[in-house]
Amino acid sequence: MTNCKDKLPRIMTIDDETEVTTVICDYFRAEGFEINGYTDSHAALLALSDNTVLPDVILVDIMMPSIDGYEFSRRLQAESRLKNIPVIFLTGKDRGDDALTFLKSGGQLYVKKPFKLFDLRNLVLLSAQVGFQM
Amino acid sequence: METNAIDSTMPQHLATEGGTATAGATASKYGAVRMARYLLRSFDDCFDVCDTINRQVQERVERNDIESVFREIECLAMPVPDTVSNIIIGLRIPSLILEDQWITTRPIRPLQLDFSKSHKPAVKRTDKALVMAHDVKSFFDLIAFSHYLRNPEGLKAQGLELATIRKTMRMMIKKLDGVKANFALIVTCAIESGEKTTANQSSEAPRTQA
Repeated sequence: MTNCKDKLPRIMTIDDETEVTTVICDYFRAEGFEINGYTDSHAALLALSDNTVLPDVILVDIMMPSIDGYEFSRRLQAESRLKNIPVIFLTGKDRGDDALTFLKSGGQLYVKKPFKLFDLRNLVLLSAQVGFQM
Repeated sequence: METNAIDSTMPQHLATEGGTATAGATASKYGAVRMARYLLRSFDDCFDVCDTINRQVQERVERNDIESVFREIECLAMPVPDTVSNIIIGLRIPSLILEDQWITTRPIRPLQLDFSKSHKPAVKRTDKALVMAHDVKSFFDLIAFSHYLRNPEGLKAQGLELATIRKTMRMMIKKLDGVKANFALIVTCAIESGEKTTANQSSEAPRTQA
């Protein structure tokens, strides 16, 4: 995991809405972050299994077709090389029981849309800090 | 931009994660704790978290244990750096409460918690601003604060409307020593001129200040 004092964390973001993924990627790139965006969680999982360089933080939408954010996170938890990557859940849904389900699937932080990109940036930096202990 | 970083150093002795920490006597019946973190930007985010966890605990915990579990779910907080009013709340949730098989099969009527003996937020007003400070150690304290904000004996009794203060509210935290409270949740908001007359009636001073 990256210590943010040394360098900016590497980010992966997954959202099936192309516009959302594009906006997030454009913002973080402009801020100097390295970020890869996916609109398909299958493709994101494939990239994680193929790449030797892993992201320091993953931003994932909850409601997605096929593999939703919870299942995506559960699959990370099942792999020892991936399970320690902090996952921030981004949701447009009313919280409902999702606010605890994210924890069950290994998520680190739950953020409700809409959010400000600047705030998301700060949350990424916090999450990437070793331990992110409270 | 104003910074919400009053004190970002969290009590490390409370930081055990990954299901290895022990809960209080009652909560430990429901498994090792896991830290759930939520971004709170407004009262509404706080209400959402309180309502969800309240409902989930009520569905999964024996009725006689509900209040004890609420009091044993430890609540921590940290500010999000470089933001005006964003904080992250951490709740140490017993893991079995997350499991669907623990949902009770009997029809339940939610237990109405008695907040009459819990501490109330300290409230201080000036001509232009209202400051509320509420000490928080457990989820019970957080839900008590939520109850205070939403119910007639709380804000409305002081001539204030949640809808009005919501427009200008800012939330901050101040770290405390963890003995009686882990942090003070501090809410500040502007008071419009029409509210001033009734709002000036209370003279209670905050126990904690930003």
